[in-house]
Amino acid sequence: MVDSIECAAEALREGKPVKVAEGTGKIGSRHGKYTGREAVLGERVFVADMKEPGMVYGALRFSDHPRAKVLRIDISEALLVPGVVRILTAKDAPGKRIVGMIFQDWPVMVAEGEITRYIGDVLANVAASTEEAAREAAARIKVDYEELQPVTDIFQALKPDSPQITEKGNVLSVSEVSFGDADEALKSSAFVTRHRFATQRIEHAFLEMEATLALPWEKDGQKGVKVYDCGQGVYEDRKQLADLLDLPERLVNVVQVQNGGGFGGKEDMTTQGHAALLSWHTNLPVMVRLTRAESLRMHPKRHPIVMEYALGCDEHGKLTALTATMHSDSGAYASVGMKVIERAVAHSAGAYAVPNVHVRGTAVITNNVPCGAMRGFGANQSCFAMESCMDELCRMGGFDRWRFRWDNALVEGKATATGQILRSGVGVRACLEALKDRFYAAKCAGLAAGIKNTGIGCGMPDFSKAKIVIEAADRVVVHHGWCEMGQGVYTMAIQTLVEETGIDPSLIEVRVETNEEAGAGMTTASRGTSLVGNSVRVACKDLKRDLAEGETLEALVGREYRGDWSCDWTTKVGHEPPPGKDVVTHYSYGFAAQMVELDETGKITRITAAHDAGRIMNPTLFEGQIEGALHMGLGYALTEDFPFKDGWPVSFKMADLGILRARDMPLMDVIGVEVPDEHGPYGAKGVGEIGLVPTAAAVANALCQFDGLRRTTLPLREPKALGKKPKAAH
Amino acid sequence: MARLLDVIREDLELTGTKEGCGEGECGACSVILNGKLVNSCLVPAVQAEGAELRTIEGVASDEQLHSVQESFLHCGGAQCGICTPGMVMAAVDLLKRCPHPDEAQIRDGLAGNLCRCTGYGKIVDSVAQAAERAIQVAEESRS
Repeated sequence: MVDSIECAAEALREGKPVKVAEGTGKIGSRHGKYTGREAVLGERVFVADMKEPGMVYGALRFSDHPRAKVLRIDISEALLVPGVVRILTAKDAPGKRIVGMIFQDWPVMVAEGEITRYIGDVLANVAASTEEAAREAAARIKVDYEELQPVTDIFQALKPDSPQITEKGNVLSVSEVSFGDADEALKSSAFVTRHRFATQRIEHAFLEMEATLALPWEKDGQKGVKVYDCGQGVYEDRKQLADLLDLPERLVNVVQVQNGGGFGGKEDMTTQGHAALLSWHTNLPVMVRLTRAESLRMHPKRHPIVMEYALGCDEHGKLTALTATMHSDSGAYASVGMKVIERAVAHSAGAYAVPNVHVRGTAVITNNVPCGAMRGFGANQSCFAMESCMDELCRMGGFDRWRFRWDNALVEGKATATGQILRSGVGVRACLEALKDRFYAAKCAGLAAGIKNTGIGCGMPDFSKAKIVIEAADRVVVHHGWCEMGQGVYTMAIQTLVEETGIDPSLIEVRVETNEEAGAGMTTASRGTSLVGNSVRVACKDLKRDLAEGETLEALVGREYRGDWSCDWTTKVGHEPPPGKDVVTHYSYGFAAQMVELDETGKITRITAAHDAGRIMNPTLFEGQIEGALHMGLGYALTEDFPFKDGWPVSFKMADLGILRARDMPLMDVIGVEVPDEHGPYGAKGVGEIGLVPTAAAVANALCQFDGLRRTTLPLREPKALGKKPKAAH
Repeated sequence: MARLLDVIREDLELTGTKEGCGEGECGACSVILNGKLVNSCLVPAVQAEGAELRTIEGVASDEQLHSVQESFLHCGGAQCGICTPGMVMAAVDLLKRCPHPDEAQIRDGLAGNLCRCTGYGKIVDSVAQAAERAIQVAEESRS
């Protein structure tokens, strides 16, 4: 914020108009965001804006019950609606109807005879000449059900007499880490704090609802399908769509369209499968787009997690042991729920070294909306618990809250909760240091630190391919596999290419389309910058050499430069690493410390966020990521909620999600810290998620300083923190 | 009943105006109707008959960006970009009503528009900078 104002002031002093920030385009510059001009003009096309000649519209018929046996789906009356082109049900899927990123358990459509699992299950799929007709027909499809009792509470779900949602029961997964003897160490600790924490389900609330445009496409004379996708990983979606259509992957071309916000909520497929199926059967371009209520109904949310924490320290304020038990409501389908609980467990000790740890997390299947990826991915929940316990130990032992954190912070040579000994690039102390003076000067402040993985790791590969094509003397195209959803990964690709080769950034175009075979995994786990940067650097090696040898772009027209980067050396959580190998849960981590200040009324006046990004690739985008995350984190702390009752959302209105508005936001100060990472490009670490990992805890800890009350349930619902009067009881 | 938003997006094919909720909550569909900022998802199309309508497509003139758009570019006011057209409309409307807003006035002026990416910081900066630039231009023309 300060930078922009100063820049404006400078321009005013010099008496010239402020120019658009182009920077040099190199790493570290405030290079303007790719297609920023189109965005401010309203000219950047989102999927829902697209139109094709002859395009028809799809509409989905959702289940009327969270759990019911589907006896009969009768489309006869719906077919009579004028304009209807085609109605598909489960039997119309040529290939694998059951999809999913990790476990394939999620039917694109539920078949007659099967049991629905949540109110976002799709039973049928209509194409019509207008959206209105398609929706009208979807509503007229008659479905006979045998209603069944939904399982909506995680602890009820775990009882032996609960209805079993899947053949394997109601447990999706269990993750556990254990080293030392945590129970014994707690017994002999000078101070032990024990609390039960509960966090809420929240909605991503990206402002762009899900939409897919699918159209007939041919490759080498064979029939295929082209899909314009606003999801978070076109190569992952291609695999699932190819399975669904029973096509080889090369006949499915998925094109990434820069989306209108993702935050993890566009990792699972929603409309992609339905649009592709309709187009495949009708040979027409088909647009399927969700309304806000449908979007709320269908895509996975942030996991509510109940956490029983016990944290101990000795009389000098050194942490001794952590035990924790976690249960998440993972909802109806797996999505990435097993990975979220794994991440919550792996991040359970936060940014601290604890010598004895025993933490077990269980992801529970219910008939609520699935929960999956959302910015922070389990780390937010456990950070709220851990950092609250840190303050409680300080209160019990009379320890200084800043010093206690400094003393226990992770440093090189110390282990995370998974037993991974960090070898380099540990920036917690640097972040705490950045807040020190301000913390001691504050009258009433809460403090929390955070850690967040870069890369999915945990024994799964992180990989990225890049392809640079010299299309013309004035046009260079970078192909990769990552989704641009506002965070700036396309700009990261450009800045890396500029840094390596010195090519003018205005000549560079970015394209993400599976037909180009420059793949990546899902855009998740704060890894886009790290992986796109590394793969573009590799791809630049030969191009750099050619340019250094005096070749011009003109002479290189038609040349193609490819680069791959991957990390395949991480190890599974809770398993012994292979003989001779160390525990490496993730190849890289980002670190943070945040501080929330309150005035004499309990209102938040300022939030200061110190973040170790390893190397700040672009200060404007870095600040944008952190500030945006702080907004989401304050909402998570104070107001946001998406509660369910009997398997249904209490409200389908965006107004009831509790998203903070411009006037609710306190002053935000973002402090960049750079402790280089050994694997990241130029030392960079991911910053996409960590911005809200410590926020809820910092708010709760500040409020506890204000009134002495320890808060253990999110959202905190404290109007005074936003300078508002409490709402009168209804 | 057709909404003004549908007429703009589907009939006029001006897709710069976005739909974020359809319930008047998010402001992504903000347009200026007869000089007033409205959520076009809440306005029945018939109500706009004969009215003067300004959408995001009418903010820049030829190749020249509006100062609000310039400032959004300069300050990083747009991330994913889906709220941006509505935000720009709200800012243009605010600066017309209130050419020298303080920060609180800017935040109130954007109260009808949700952004899920920026935390509003760089959007508020953008509007403040646009206002500054307007003052500067006015001073230059006087001197």
